[in-house]
Amino acid sequence: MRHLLILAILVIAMGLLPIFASNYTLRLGTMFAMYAVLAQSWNIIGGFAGYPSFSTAAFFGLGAYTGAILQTQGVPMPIAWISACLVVTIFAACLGIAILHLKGHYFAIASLVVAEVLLEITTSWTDLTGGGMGINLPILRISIEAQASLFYWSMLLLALLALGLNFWVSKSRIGFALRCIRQNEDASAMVGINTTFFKVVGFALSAVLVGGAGAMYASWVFYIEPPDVYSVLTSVKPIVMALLGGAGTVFGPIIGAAIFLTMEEFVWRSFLSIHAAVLGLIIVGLIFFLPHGILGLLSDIKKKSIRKRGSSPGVEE
Amino acid sequence: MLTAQILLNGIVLGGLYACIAVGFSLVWGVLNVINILHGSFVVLGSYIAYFAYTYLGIHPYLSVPLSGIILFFVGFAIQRGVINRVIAAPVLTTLVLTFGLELIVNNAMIIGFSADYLSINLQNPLGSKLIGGLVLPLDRLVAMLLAIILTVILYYILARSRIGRAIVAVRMDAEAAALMGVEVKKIYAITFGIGAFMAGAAGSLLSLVFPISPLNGTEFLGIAFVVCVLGGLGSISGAIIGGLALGAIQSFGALWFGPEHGLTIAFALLILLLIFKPTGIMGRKGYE
Amino acid sequence: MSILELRGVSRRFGGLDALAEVDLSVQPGEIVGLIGPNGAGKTTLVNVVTGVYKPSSGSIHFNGSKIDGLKPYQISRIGVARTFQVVQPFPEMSVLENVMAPAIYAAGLKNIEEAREKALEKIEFVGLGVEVQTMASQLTLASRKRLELAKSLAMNPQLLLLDEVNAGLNPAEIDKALELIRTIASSGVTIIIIEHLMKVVLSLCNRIVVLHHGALIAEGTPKEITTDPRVVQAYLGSRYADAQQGNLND
Repeated sequence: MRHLLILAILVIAMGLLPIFASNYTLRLGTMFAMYAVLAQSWNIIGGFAGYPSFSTAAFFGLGAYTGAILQTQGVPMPIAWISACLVVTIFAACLGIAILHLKGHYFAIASLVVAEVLLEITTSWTDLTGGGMGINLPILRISIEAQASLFYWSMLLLALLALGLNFWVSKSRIGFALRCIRQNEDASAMVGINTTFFKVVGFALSAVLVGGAGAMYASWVFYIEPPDVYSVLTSVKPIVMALLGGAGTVFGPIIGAAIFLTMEEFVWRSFLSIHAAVLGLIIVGLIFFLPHGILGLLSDIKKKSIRKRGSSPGVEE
Repeated sequence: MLTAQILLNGIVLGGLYACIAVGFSLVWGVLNVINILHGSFVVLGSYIAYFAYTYLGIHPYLSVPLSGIILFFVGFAIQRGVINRVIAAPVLTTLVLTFGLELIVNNAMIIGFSADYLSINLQNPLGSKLIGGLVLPLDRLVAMLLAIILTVILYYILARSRIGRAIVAVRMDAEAAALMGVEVKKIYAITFGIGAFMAGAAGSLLSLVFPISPLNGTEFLGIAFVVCVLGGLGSISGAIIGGLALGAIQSFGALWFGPEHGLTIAFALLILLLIFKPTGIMGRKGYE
Repeated sequence: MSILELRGVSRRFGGLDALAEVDLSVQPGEIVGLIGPNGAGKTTLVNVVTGVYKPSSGSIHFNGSKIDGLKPYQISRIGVARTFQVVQPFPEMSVLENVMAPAIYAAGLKNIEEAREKALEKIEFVGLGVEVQTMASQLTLASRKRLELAKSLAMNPQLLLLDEVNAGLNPAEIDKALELIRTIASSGVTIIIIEHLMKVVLSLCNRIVVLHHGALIAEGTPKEITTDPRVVQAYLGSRYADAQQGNLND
C-alpha cells in the first residue's frame, strides 16, 4: 500500500513536469520513459520467464518503421502508434513460435540476429522504407514546447502501461507459469503448464509496448534510418537496465532505467569519445558487483539482518 | 565455367572463414561462453599484420605467429582476469559481460587506430594465375591454405598433446576432469587464449583480403556464429565444413542477390538453421 | 474397461530398442509393480505414457482414449500423474507454491483460494505441513520426495506413476512412504510403481510386471513372479529365489 502511494506521488510529479521544466529536461524525461518501457517489457520474457531475449531492437525498429510508413501515408499519429503495437505483437508471436523452442545461447543468438535480418530487409526495400536514406515523418503543426510536452506525456503513459503490465503479469496465472518455466521447464510441463503457449504469450507481451515506443520515437525525432532503430545496443541496454535494478522484480527495470539514463547523460556530456567504453565498464562492473541488481542487493541485506536478529522464517506456523 | 569459378572463390573464402570460426567454436564448446570479443580479436590480428608489414616489412603471412601469440596473451589475460569469475553464471550474464568487454576493446581500437579503413598493398604480390580457365588469386589461395594448415595443426594439438587432451576432457565433463586433477580454470584460460590465437592468426591472413577497421569486427563475429551453427558446434571438422559451406553459399548468393547482401544471406541462413536444425550439417550437439 | 492399455508399444533411440513391443493392461484400482534390471526400460515406459516421448510404434490408451502423441501437459490434465526418479521441484518457490502449480494448471482450479486449499490439503496429507513456507531447495531429500508426491496428488490423478520414490530413503522413511502409498491406493487411485526394493514391491503390489531389455518378459502375482524361471534368470538371481522359496514355505 505504501508503495502505491509513493508511486502515485511520483507519477503526479512527473506528469506535472512540463509546466516548469525546460525542453532539455523534458527530452531527458521522454528518454527515461522510453527506456523504462523497453526495460520493463524485456523483463517479462527475460526476467520472469528467464529466456535471454535480444530481440528488443527488432521490435523497436519494426514498430518505428510501421509507425513512420503509416504516418507518411497520412494515417493520424495515434492510430499509427496503435497499429505499430499490433503489427509488432503479431510479429513477436510468430517469431516466438519459431524460436522459443531453443534454449540458452541458441535462443539468444536467434533473437539477436532477427534484428540484423530486419535491418537488411528494410535497407533493401527502398520503395517501401526509403532504404538507407531513411524516412522523413510529417511535421506537426504545433509549437516546439507543445511537441515536447506531447511526446513526454505519451511516453510516460506508455511507461505506466509497461509498469502496470509487469504488475499484472506478476500476479496472474501467466506470471506464475513463467516463473515455473524459468525454474524448471520440464517439471512445468509435467504439472500441466502449456509451456509453448505461455512462452509465446510472454514474448508477445514483451513486444507490444516496445513496438509502440518505436513508433513514438519515430514521430518524436521526425527522421529514422535503419541503423538508428535496429541498433544492437537497443537490445542490450534494456537488459543492462533490468539487471541493474533487478531482473524478475516488478520495479527493478524502471529503477535501473533511471540510474542508467543518469549515468549515460553524464558520460555523454563528459566523455563523448569514450562513451561506449564507459558503458562497457558499467556493464562489467554491474556483472561483478551487482549480479542481482539493486533490488536484489536490498533484499539480500534485508534477509541477512533478519537472520542476525535471530528469528528464522517459516518455523512459527 | 562460371559456376566453377564461383565455387572456387567460395572455397577460398571458406577456408578463411573456417579459421575465423574454429577458435570461436572451441571457446563456445569448452567454456560454454559466446565470445563477443572474437571479431575484435580478428581485427587486432589484422592491425598487427598491418603494422608489421608497414614498419618492419614482414609479410602478413609470416606475421601469423606474431599476431597469434600476442592475441593468445590478450585472451588468456581477459579470461583469467575477468571471465573466469563468472564462468558458472547463466547465459545472459556471460553474454552481456563479453558484450561489455567488446564495447571497451572496440572503443579503444577506434581511439587508437581511428575507424578509417586501412589496407595492405604488397610490394610484390603473387598476383593471379590462369589455370584451366579458372582465375586463381594466388595470395588468397596461399592464405586459405595456411588457414587450413593452422586449423589442422590445432586439431592435432587437441588430439595428441596433454593440454589438448585436458581441454577435450573439460569439454566433456568439467567436474570429472577436475576430479582427475585437471586445473579447470587454467584450462579455461588456455582455451580462451587458443581461441584468441586462432582469431589473431586469421586476422593476419585476412589482412590481404578484407579492409582493416574496428568496424569490421561485427562481420567477423557474425561469420563465426553462422559457421558454428552451420557446421555443428565444438568440432574442428565442423568448423571447416561450415566455413567452406558458408563461403560457397555466399559466393553463389553474391551472384544471385548482389555482393552487398553477403552478411544478410549468412544471417538469414543462421535463423533458418536455428529454427529447423540447430545442430548443423555435422549434427553434433553443442552446449545449450 | 482397463484404465491404461499399451498395445505393442516400442520406443527406439537410434539403434537401441528401449521398449520392444510391450503389451500391458492395467485395471482401475490395481497397484502394479514395474521391475527389471537397470536399463530395462522402466523409466522409458513411464516417459512414453506421460508423453515425454512418442512411441516409435504401437498405441497407448487411457480409459479407452488414445493418448500417445499428446503432450505432457495435456496428459497431466486428463488424470495421469508421475513422480521423477531425480526429484524436480521448483527450487525458488515455497512448498505451498510448488503444490499450487499443479492444482492451478493440471487440476484446472481457476480460483486462487481453491488452489491454495487443495495444495494445503495435499501437503498435510504427505506430512509436510510444517514446511509449507520453506523454499523447495532447502528441503531434505525425504521431504522433497514427499513434495513430489504432494504435487502429483494435487493434479487429482486417476493413475499415478511412481518412479523410484524410495531411492535414497532410510528404512523408517520407506515405511512411512509405503503407508502413504497404501492410503492413496485405497482412495481409488490406480498406481504403477517402479521399484528396486523387493520388500516394497512384494508387500505393496497385487500384480508385478517385469521388463528386461525393453521387453515384457513376465507378469503375475508376487508369488508367481518370484518363482518364474525367466525372471529369476534375468533379475532376481538364483540365491534370492531360493531364499524366498524358503520364506514362502514357512
